[in-house]
Amino acid sequence: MTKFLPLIWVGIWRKPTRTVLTALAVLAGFTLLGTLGAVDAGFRHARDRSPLDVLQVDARFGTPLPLAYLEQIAAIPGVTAMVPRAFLGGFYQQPRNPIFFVATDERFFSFRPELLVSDAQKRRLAETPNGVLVGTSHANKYGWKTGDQIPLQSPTLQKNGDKTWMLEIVGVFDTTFDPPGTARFTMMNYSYFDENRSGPRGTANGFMARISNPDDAVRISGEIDALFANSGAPTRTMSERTSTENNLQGLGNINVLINGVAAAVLFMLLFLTGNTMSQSAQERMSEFATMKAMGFEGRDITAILIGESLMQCLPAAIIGLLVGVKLVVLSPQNFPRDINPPWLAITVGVLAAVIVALVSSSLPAWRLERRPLTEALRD
Amino acid sequence: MLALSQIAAVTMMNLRAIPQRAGASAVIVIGMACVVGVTLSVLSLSEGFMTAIRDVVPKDAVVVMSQGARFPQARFISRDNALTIIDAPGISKTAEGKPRAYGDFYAGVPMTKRGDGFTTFVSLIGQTQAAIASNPDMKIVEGRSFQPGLHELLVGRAAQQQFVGLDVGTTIPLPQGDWSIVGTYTSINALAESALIGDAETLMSAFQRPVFATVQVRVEGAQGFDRLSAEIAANPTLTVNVRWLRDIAAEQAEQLNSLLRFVGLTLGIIMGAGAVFGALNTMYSAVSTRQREIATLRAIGFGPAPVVISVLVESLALALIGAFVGAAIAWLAFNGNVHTVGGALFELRVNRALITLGIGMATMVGFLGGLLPAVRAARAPVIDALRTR
Repeated sequence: MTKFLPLIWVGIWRKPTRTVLTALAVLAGFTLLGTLGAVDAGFRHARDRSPLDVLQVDARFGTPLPLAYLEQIAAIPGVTAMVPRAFLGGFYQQPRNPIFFVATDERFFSFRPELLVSDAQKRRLAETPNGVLVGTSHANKYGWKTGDQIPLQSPTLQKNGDKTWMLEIVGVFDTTFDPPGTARFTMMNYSYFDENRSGPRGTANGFMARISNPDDAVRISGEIDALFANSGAPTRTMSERTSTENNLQGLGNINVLINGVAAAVLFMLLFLTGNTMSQSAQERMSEFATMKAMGFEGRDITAILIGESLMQCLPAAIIGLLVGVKLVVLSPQNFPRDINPPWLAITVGVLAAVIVALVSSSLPAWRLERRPLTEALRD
Repeated sequence: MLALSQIAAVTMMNLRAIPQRAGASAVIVIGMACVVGVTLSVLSLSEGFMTAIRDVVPKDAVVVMSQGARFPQARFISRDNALTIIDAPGISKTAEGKPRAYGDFYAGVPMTKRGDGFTTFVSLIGQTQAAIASNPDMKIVEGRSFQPGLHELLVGRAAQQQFVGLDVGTTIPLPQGDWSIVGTYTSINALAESALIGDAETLMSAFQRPVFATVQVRVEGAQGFDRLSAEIAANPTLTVNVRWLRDIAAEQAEQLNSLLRFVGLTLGIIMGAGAVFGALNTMYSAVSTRQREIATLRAIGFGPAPVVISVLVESLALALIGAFVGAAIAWLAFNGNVHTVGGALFELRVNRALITLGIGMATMVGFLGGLLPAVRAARAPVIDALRTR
């Protein structure tokens, strides 16, 4: 096909306005496809990174779970590690600055290897009872530094009736899941939280349990829930993977939306580029006939048409995909993101562009092929 | 008058010739149909949700809840406070002269959805018999109401249809054993139908929660609301907010709504841009095939205005046809479909407001896509254009 490049180049610039407009439409469409692909990749990534071998034990009805559950669950064969989790929610300075601390202990870090917390930070957290570790997002937003004392206004009262928790920042960290500077996770010492709260002491909102074999997740979850089914605080246990799938489902059926929109966009573009190619081929019927009379084969003409179509679509589509992938930062914050480039979406997008180009040039090529030479020459 | 008849003549001639350029014209129609179809389908969700809230939340319903309680789980009002609130002025009365204000209980219980098997939290609401009896919006359509002191629940029909294991006669595990479903209720408020209802006191003791979540009040109009708020604000023992239920519902819907509006409009704008480029292409080619015809008209005395208008009308007409096709597809596919968000159930709506939006988008695309080609057509030198073959 390379020997036809000059012909293809001249062909697409025969009517520059039309070529540029077609390319712009392709660019717009593929920008959208790029964004959709990146959103989809974010959801996929959120699902895939949720471990299968970690169970979340939560309160079935929101009742506080006694810490004694820890040992009972740890005694189940197949459970290798446990950690409690409690939550302290509130706001910093104003209700529109909500923060949500997870109160837990050092065992938590083995369950969350994505937290880039240094050993020194871990040590400082252990040494400072009211110490907290905060994600870079909060630290940047409020200008917090290590050593700062921050007041947290919370509906969870302290035992002295005070609703202001004074917390000391002992470290700021990133995670491997978020782009640098956007980590939103925050944690504090469970022991400090539990000692100082007015609510039921010695309880947690839930536990995390590691199991030795992911295939046992369903069986062990059932055993844990059965253990406490008739108590005053029943549990509800599922693997983190299942939990994530549930949460993502709660955001609505994103897959249907993405596929539907992508189909509409491709349909629209197919029509648009198809029309451009037909018009362009129609106008040059006699030129092509002349070329055939000069000895070009039918398939040479087809190759030229396909080349023109690819030349109009592919660069625009690739630029659009790359721009669209970047635009995913505009999507709502509770959408999960994948910080790696969504190569799958880009590859599928490029393939889609090639297919659009091939289909849109095939109809005019077929028409040219069928047109008797003598008639075409007369056009 | 002459100008008007010229415009009419050229425009009609132009529109009648559209079938000759069917392929190119279809680019505008199909492009616009895709843009409007996608945008309206997405927005039908938010429109349906807002309709559900606007039309069916009772106009006199007011909620008293603790200050700063952003989540249902964080709401609590002590029994003493609840009694004070119920005695406050401005609250409407039942036929027996009792205030229509009742402390309630709230919890979320995990339920399995029919179909995909995913888990969603369904609202479990504790009320009193009196509250249910005085609620004109609710009707028990199967079985009977719950008995205070017994582990019995009513289920909303929407919840029953959505989730596994909520038929009358079955039991569900709650704290302190199994609770039986003894009846099904319907409500004119579809959002209120996606819940389980039991006796407040019985549920509070089962969940070991000695306080109410909120106090639900029916007020005597806006004046009643003002009197209730003033009384409560003046009482230093109460740290609660008095708010219209419709405002709370709208606020809760806002998060979903702003998300859907953002998604819908982003899709609309980017796809719309693509449609404008497509329309420009079509109209440029339409103008270039009509070059000689336009030049002839200009030569025999037609002004540039009729030419510009005829091109604009063509592009607007095609875009509008597309918008109607797109709106019709969205309407057929989604209007009236039942959808759930977070356990609340509502119907999707492709209503007049959305169709108007679609028409607005089509007008924009048609205008932007037709303007430049129209100007080019009117500006083309007559002599040169007449010479083209």
